[in-house]
Amino acid sequence: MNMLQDLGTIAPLWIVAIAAAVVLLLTVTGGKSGPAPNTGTHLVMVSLAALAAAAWLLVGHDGTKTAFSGAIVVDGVGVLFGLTVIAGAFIAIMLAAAYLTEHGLSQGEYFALVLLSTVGMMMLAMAGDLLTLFIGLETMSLAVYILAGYRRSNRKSQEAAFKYFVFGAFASAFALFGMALIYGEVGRVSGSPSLAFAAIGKAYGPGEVAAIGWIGVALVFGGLAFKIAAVPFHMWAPDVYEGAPTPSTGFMAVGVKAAAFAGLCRFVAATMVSAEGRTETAVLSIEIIAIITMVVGNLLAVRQTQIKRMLAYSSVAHAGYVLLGVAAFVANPKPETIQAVSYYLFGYTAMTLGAFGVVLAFECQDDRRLDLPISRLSGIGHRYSATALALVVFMLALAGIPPTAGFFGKLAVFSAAVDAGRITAVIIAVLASAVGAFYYLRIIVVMYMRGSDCQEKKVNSSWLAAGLWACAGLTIGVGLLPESYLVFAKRVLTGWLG
Amino acid sequence: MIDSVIGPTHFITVAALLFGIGAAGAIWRRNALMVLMSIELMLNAANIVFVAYGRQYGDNGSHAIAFFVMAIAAAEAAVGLAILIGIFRTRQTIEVDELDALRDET
Amino acid sequence: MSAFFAHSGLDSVEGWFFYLGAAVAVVGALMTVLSRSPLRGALWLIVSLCSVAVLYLLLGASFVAAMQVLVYAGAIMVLFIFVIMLLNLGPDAGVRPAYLSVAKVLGLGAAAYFTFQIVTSVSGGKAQAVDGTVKAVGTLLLGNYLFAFEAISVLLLVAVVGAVVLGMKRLT
Repeated sequence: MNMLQDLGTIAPLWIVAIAAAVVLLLTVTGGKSGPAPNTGTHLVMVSLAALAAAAWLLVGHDGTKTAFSGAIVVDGVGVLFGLTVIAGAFIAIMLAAAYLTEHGLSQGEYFALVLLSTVGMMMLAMAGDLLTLFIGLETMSLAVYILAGYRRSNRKSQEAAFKYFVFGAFASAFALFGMALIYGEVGRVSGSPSLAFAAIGKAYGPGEVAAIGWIGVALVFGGLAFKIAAVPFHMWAPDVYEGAPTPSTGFMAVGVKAAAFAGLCRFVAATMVSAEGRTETAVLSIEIIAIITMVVGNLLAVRQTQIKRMLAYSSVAHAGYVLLGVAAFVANPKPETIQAVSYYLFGYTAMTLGAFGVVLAFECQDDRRLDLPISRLSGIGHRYSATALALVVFMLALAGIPPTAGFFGKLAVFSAAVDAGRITAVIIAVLASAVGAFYYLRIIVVMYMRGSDCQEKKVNSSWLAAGLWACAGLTIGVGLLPESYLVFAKRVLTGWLG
Repeated sequence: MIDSVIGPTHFITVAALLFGIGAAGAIWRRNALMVLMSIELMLNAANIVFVAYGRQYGDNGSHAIAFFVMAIAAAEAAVGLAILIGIFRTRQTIEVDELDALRDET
Repeated sequence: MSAFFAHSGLDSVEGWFFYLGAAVAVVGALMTVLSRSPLRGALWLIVSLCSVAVLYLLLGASFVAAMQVLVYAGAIMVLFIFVIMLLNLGPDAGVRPAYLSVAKVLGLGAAAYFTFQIVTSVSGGKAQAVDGTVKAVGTLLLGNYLFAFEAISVLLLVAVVGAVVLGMKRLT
């Protein structure tokens, strides 16, 4: 074991973790009363620089490297999903800079928690065994619970943190129990119990696994399904999305989802893909969850009058589409499917954060309010044409209309599912996204078609503007040039799955 | 190999019982503190399963895993209790049912 | 009769310790969940956690048993009791009344069933020698499990920052 080599492999992790520590130290040494809300630029800079450095290291990564006795595997999945969560954290910090200044909240702790949560997400994406996966999951989740309750004197924010925490801790306990069962089952089949994905794959492959081993798989799957807000584990999502401060909502909507999907991909690749005779059952179960998730999410989103709740149900629906990709991957394990899933999540990161950024721009004026009724968007198209145009881009992308990332993401995932022979599910998914288009387009209608007597004030912040531009640029850029992303994804995924 | 009248299955049955009691408590208790304690019980049950299987197949690693789970449980308890104290400060109650500021409109 | 004792393990010291530890752990857990006062619940949970430490000793995991008492029954539960005292919580309504009787019946029924199953039908098995001493586990922590050991420090940092952020009176 070469320690220096291992440390080099996990450099993206410790760079971000050290940046979090530096941000905390800068906050503490920033004077008796802490830095005044407006002087936090250096904190933003340190955070963004660290994330950029980590992203740069990941982009340049080649091949598959394992570190620390296989606890960390930096391969195609780790790189692609790692980049997605880094992009999410990067933009979330820009949005948060504007929000925290507006509300007079301390920036240092917030950025540190976002960075530490990102470290947890990267651990999840690069996990080589279930223990690393669980520690990453907990690091990510604990930080996000705190971010949800960051406005700690606000009742809704507190309640959001509490609900997220209780449901989350409950789900993690089930996942942990499932891991213990898998650990024992691997021991029974192979003689030496292990949590490493490689060992689990070998034990689950020949089809000798008893029922208790599959109960373990179901429990871990349930724990991860909770994090991605798949039905029936979605009931926390609307409340938490509404109550959490908007930049936290954006960050958890994209980061937690992408990281949990990375963990899910690794987990199903180890337990289900090679399992003889069980694959069809596994595919069918995931597919049913995916269909219920997209249908329920879309139907409930239509009824919402608050934009954050609507986006919460919309994120449930998007989890369903991606889950369909995961089902396709289990049915037909090809790197291209993982490529499609990661492409979808990358585009989803840009458009969802952008949508929450616009919400943030308009809700800030009232300190007690944490949500924005859709009706209050009426007429902003006439008064704030640039911001409104950005929101149009995000809504079109979420609805899946070309030439945005949302369209090509859906196209990639659905065609992967067709390739795997899941035609019925794809038809239902297309119908569900047609329902989804209705409520996204309604927002555009409200913005432009209703009166021009707009009373809303908009937050003016260069960080916010930069964040929105970045989101809009990525949403359209990744949509117009899907090839460049896919070429990169193909390169890093080479050799994945043997 | 050691022959033993008390085998791993004994321990795992006890763990399953503790896990079930914890899960029932987390679902049915209305006091938020009791919910947290029930979740601790569930994590504890998972630990017993790890150590029991480690014993059955002779893997020391289960002890390390159990140790990590304890650290995670401690961190989770600290954050959970901090959230709870904040809620108590503004509402003077930690009854789960009283948390109804966030809900779907009907 | 003696066959029953031999089968259930009640003819050995190990067997008696197991049944004693398991019974106290399960009863403690039940009392935790069913007690109306949080303080009583917390104290019963300590009883339960300490008996689980006995089970760890039977499994040859002496380091984990020590940690169970120190970290779980010690540190974590002290934190709980501290918060209960801080909030000055009295007895609450306990379990939802409609569920209480159901919970008692189900809980005791399940416990009785599993006890019957353990004593009569579960047979012992092969166990392998494990080295659960501090030295052996410590070597593992800094060897095969080095990454998890380091990653836990990130998790604990999150918890520290979180407790400060959420618990402090004024932040700015």
